[in-house]
Amino acid sequence: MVATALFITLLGAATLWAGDRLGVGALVEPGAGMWPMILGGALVILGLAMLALESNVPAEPLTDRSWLVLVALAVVAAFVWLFAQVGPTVSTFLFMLVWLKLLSGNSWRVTVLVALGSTAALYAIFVLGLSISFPDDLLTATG
Amino acid sequence: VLDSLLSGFEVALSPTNLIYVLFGVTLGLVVGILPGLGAGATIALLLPFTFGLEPETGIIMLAGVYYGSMYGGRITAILMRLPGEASAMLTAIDGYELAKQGRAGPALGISAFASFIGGTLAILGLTFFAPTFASYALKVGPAEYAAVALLALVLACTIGSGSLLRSLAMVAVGLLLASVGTDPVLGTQRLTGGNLELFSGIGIVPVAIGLFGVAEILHYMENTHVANVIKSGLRDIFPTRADWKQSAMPILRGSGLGFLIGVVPGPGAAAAALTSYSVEKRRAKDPSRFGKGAMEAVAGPESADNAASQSAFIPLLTLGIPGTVVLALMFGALQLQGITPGPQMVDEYPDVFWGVIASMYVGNIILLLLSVPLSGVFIQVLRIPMGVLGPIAIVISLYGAYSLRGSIFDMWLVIAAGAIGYVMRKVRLEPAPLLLAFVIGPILESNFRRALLISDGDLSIFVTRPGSAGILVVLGLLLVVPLISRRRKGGLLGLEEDVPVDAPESIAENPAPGERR
Repeated sequence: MVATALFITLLGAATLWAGDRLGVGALVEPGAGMWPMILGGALVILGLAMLALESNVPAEPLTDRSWLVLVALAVVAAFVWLFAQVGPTVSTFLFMLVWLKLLSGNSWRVTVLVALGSTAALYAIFVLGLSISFPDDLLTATG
Repeated sequence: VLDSLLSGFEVALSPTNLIYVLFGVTLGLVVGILPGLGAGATIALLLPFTFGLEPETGIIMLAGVYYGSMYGGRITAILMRLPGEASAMLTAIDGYELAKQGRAGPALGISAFASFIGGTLAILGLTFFAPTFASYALKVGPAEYAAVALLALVLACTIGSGSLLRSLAMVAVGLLLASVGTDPVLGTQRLTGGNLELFSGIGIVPVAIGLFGVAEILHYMENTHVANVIKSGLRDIFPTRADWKQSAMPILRGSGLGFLIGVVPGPGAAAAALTSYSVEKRRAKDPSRFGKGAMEAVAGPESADNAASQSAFIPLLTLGIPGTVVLALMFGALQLQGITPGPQMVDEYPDVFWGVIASMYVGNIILLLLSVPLSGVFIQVLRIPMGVLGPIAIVISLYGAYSLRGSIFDMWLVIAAGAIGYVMRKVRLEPAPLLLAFVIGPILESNFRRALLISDGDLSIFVTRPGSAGILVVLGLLLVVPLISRRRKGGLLGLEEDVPVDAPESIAENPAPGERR
């Protein structure tokens, strides 16, 4: 894949640029940019080599379910946002509900039972069992 | 050694530790059986839990998960051609053929004993060699350390299934990610983009959970596998005498090979299994049976991967250099406890060192006892569909990432790493070299820079010191030889199966770093 090789090369170039701005120093007294510069150089070389030698490696084809991955990532992101706002219980329950029903296509019975069960079990393990302080919870008012 | 080992058994046999070893190996067995959720992801998920435990208890549990999963990986490999762990790939080939012939029982039985024997022989080796190794390692300077760290990374690349070039690129990306944060010598910020959360660097755990756990679930989602379960032949677990005769030597050879390959940082259990498979195939009177249900092809690789997973603890506990992803996580767990793995560990934390080793004896016996009668029962776990297991695993991942530092930012990192891991899979870039480089990065950088401090900025320190020079020569050979042999085969893609041949040679050329001084 040409895009992959180009990405690696550009990442290396960006690192070289950032390393240069940090100050390279000398080998006797390396600056903060020295190590990034070395890595950036390596990335550029490897990226160009990939471009020259391996640009014909095919990517794994997308399937007709691939768009689900994007949806799933969005759902997980929404979960994290909600988790930060209202704590673990409500966010986890809603997340499980959406995933089990919309993404996995389970029956409502399975969806509701698993969502309730897993939310409760995870709460019991992490909050009650391990007493990890999660963000303040809307329902239980603990955190 | 025996005295220390006995005191180790005292630690390992304490009621608490016994419970955790039992918990660890059982969990390991289960996740080993489950395809998708591997030992790496599970240990990443368990990391936050070890925080509240005694150091030895935490490591004993995590180690149990690790070798337990090696044990469990074979079960679905044999029954459904679904290797639960990468290292069970080879077991899947002939094991599944045996199962189709209605010989699933003997295959499971032989593989259980093969795993037990391989594991136990390797722990014996670990017990007697690790302390010697550690005393050598104490004499190693930063130049050698940097060279060994680099060697571990390159070895990890040459053994993987992808191309060398692409793996090396992933190593560079991993090293780059590891360098985000504070400069270890100067204390200035670098590559953080001014983001406060990044000043202390990117955590190992969110990256590991994302790249392995979340990416795997995402990938699974778009490819719904339909597994065909074989139900017959589960009743007679016990192999016949002929099976035993066929398997005895492959098991012994596999154990020896596995032990040696495990000691070299990098290749890991999958490479050990691969090597054993190719050795047995070459020795066989009728190699054409391989791939069609040869018992040796199950026995050898199984003993090799278990032996390697045990002996891989040697470089971690004595040099502080993790050779595989799972051991990198173990490294993280020790650090969480304020213990830096390395040559001083035997003396400074004998309880942890010997306790973990002794617990491996115990764990292996538990595994044998558990897996022979319970093989059938464990398969029931597979009835939980991924559509249900997936979201639960994601929530656990995110909870785990959060609880380590109480950081929402780390949860976002998990998502980002998950998305990146998914894309990497799509474009055929391997996550394992990236994560290894990410963990080894700081070791490599700080030793590289310390060596330069000693030599007043003279790079020749790496070639004038015999230890590091020797390692660098091996490293150069490792990079050049496959390039030439692949070109001869007319392709640089590295998709050929010439990989296992490299492994035993690299061991012969690569004695303990201390010995070269």
